[in-house]
Amino acid sequence: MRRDLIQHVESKYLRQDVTSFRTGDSVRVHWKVKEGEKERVQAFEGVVIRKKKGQHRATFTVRKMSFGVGVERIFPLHSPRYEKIEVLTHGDVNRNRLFYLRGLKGKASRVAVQEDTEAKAAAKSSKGA
Amino acid sequence: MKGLIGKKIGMTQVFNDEGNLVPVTVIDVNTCQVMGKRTPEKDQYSAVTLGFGEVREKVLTQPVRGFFKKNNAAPRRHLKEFRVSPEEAAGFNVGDAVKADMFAKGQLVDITGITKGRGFSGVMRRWSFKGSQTKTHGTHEYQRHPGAIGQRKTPGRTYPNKKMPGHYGVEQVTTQNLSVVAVDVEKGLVLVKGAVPGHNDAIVYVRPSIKVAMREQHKAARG
Repeated sequence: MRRDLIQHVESKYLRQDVTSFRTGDSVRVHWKVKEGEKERVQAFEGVVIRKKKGQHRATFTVRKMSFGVGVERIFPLHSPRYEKIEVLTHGDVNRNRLFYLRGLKGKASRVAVQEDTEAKAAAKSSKGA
Repeated sequence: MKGLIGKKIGMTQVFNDEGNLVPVTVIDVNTCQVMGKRTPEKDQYSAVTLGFGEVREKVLTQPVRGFFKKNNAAPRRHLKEFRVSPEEAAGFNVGDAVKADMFAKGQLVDITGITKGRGFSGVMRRWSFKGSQTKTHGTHEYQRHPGAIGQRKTPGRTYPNKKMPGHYGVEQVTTQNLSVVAVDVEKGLVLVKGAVPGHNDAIVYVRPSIKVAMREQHKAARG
């Protein structure tokens, strides 16, 4: 009963339009930024290196290189503050958590792209547009 | 009306209007009901008695059963009087259900509960003493001790109320000015930001913030 009530509360905060993606995928997160009164959308593009489970508490970490510096950002998967998540490519990886990317630079730090899914993703995005 | 009786369900996190995750305690106030009233004519003061939680009549003693029978109300496990002005009390009839919508989102509330029992605790847990500052240099068996408890010949005694080890917890504590994050009238839930005294399933009293009320009073007095 205790669990039921907590779950009832938490279920209200679940996003219904969660995009499915996996670690290794390249994604573009359209994050809403508030500047004073105005709100604008800022994209954060990179590789998903970790997904954490947990109902509405689930998060994922996106890593990118910005002017030669590695930047990682953790997003709540059910946050109302992003507009959408675009999946750009599906990565071909053998790990669930890609922390080894932190130690790599340049060409070595790229994630191999799954070939067949790349075409699929392209077809999908063209349909959506 | 000056409060509700509730049950602490537990803690979780929810997104607020800005989209940030905030920690909340879920409080169930589902079965709150007016069980009786105190009137200035009869009792020299004015109050409303609320009941909470269902109970089988069989487990109650005759005098308690008589109280429910007299007021023609279904038995409740927990009873609590809330002092209200006679004008306010007029709006409540015995048998009325009191709903969570008494509180609004953003309102500040005080929550009273009985804290978790910690048994016989040392000074580090009970009074947040720092303990020994070193584990080496010859220190042994002294890492969680209280240190000195007084001076020398003068005064030659330990002062009263010196913080020492002893029983800790199981005391009534009120946490003030917790903001209400959400109210679910249908399920009878109140979500407040932050922690609340007591274990899960503990009985808590939710009242409008006394500090806010005092502030308004002062403002009114000043004109």
